[in-house]
Amino acid sequence: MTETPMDGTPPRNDPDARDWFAPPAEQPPDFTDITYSGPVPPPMPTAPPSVPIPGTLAPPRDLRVWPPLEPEEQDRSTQPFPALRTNRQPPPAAPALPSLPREAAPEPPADVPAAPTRRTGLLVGGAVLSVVLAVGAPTLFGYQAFRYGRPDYTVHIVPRGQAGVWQHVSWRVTVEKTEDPSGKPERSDRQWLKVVATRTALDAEGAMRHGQPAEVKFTDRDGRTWQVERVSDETPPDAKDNKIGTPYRIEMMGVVPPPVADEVEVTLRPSGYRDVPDQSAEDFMKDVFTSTEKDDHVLRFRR
Amino acid sequence: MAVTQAESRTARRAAREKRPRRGVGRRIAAGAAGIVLAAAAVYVQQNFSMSFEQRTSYLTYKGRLGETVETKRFAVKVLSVAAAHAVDTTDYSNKVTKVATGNLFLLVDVSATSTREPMRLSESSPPLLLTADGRRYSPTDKVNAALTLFNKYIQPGFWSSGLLVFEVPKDAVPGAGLVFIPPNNAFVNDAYAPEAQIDLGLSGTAADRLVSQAEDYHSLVSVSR
Repeated sequence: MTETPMDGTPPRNDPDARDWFAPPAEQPPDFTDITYSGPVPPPMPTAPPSVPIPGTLAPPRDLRVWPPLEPEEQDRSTQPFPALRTNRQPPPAAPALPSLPREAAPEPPADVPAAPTRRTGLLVGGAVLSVVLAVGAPTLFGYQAFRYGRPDYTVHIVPRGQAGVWQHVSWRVTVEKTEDPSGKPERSDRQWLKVVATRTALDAEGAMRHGQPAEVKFTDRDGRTWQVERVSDETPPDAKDNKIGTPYRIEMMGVVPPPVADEVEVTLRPSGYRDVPDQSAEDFMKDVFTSTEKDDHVLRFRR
Repeated sequence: MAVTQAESRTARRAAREKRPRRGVGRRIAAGAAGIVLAAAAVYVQQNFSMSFEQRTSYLTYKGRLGETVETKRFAVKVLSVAAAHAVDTTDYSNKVTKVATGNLFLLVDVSATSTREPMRLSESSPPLLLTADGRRYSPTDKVNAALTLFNKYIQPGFWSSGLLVFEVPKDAVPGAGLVFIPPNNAFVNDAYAPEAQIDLGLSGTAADRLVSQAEDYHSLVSVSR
C-alpha cells in the first residue's frame, strides 16, 4: 500500500493548486532556491552599523578579464530544471524580444505580394472545378442512362443461306414477300414480309435454351428498323421435348416500305433463358442471379 | 521556439494590416454592385425562367390541322376532327357495343410515321388534348385501344393512321389542340424527346359548328384501315 503525502487527497485542480513540495503563496520566496525565477524584491534596508568603521571603503579597482564577461541575460545553464507547479511567475521572456522584430521584419514584404496570387489561383481553380463538376456530373449520369437504354450489342453477321450459331443453338432465317394476312386490300406504300426462323439445338445445353428470341427486327442499310411480330412457334415449351438436332419453326411477319423490301435483313437477338430439366425453383433463382450472361448478342442474317 | 513563432506571426499580421486599405468609395461601389447583381439574379429567376409546364414537357414542335409536323424522331399530321355523342367499343371477345357520353367525344384522325424505329403510343404517356385555358385531357378509356391509333405500330417509311378519341366537355372544344407525345422509356425518361403540338383549328365559329353538328353515333368498327 502506498501512502500518499496528502492523506490520499488528490491534487486540486484550482489555479493555486501547488506541488506537494512548493511553499504556500504567502511565504516569501526562498532566494537560496536555485530554481527560483520570480521577481526579486528590493533588498531590505539595513540600518547603518552602530559602531562606525574607521576609514573609507575604497571602491574595487580590479577588472575582471577572465573568464570574459558574458551578457547577463543569456542563460548558460545546461541543467534541466524540474518543472514546478507553483504559484511562481513564469520566467520573463523579455530577453528574447529585442532581437526578434528585426528578424521577422524582412519576412512580410516577401509574403504580402504572394498572398493575392495564391488566393486568385485558388478562386479560379475552384470556379473551374465547380463548373466542370456541375456540367460533367449530369452529363456523365445522362450518358450512363443513355447507354443503359441502348446497350451495346455484339452483332454476328451470318452469310446468306447459312446458319448462325449462338450458345449451342443454330439459327436459320428465310424471308419472303407475302400478302396482307388480314385480307385487306393491298396498299402501295407497304409490303408484308414473312420470316421463318428455324431453331436447332446442337446439344443438351442448346435444348435447354429454348426461350423465344428476345428481339427480332428488320433492319435496312441505314439502320432503320421495323417491327416483326411472331405468328407461331413450334418450339416445345418443355426442354425435355426439345430434341437435339430437330429444327423447330418460328413464323413471324412484318411490314416494310416496298423500296427496302428486298434489302431488309433480319436481326435476331437470342434469349439467354435456360430451362434445366427437373431443376428446383430455388436453383433456378440462384442461376438467374448468379448468371453474368446478358442478351446482348445479335445475329444479323444477310440476304 | 513557440514564442518565436507567435511573435513572427503577430509581426506578419501587423505588416499585412499596414497595407493601404481600399478607399471607402470603392468599397461602397463594390457593395452596391453585389446587391445589384443579386437583385438581377432574383429578377431574372422570377420573370424569365421557364414555367413548370415548359420545364417538364418535351421539346415541342408546333403545327396546324392538315400540316405535317416533322421532328427528328417522327412526323405527324392531323387529318380531320369530328365530334360525336356515341361511339363504338369492343371487349376482349371482339363484341361491339355502343358507348355514349353526356359530354362530347372528340375524334381526332391522326397519321404518323417514324424516322428510324417502330414505335407504338404508350398508355402511360398518351397524346393529350390541350384546351385553350390549359386543361389537359387523356384519350378516353371508354373506347378499347384496339380501335384507335394505340393499336398501330408507327414505323419508318409509311404512314399509319388511326383515331384518338377524347371525351371532353363542350366548353373545352374552342381553341383545343392535340399534343402528340411519342412513347418514352418508363425507367429512363428522355427529357429531350420531341413532341408535336397541333392546333386543331377550332376557333370561334368552327368550334360552335363542330359542337352543334356533332354526330349522334360514330361507328369505329366500320372504318377499316
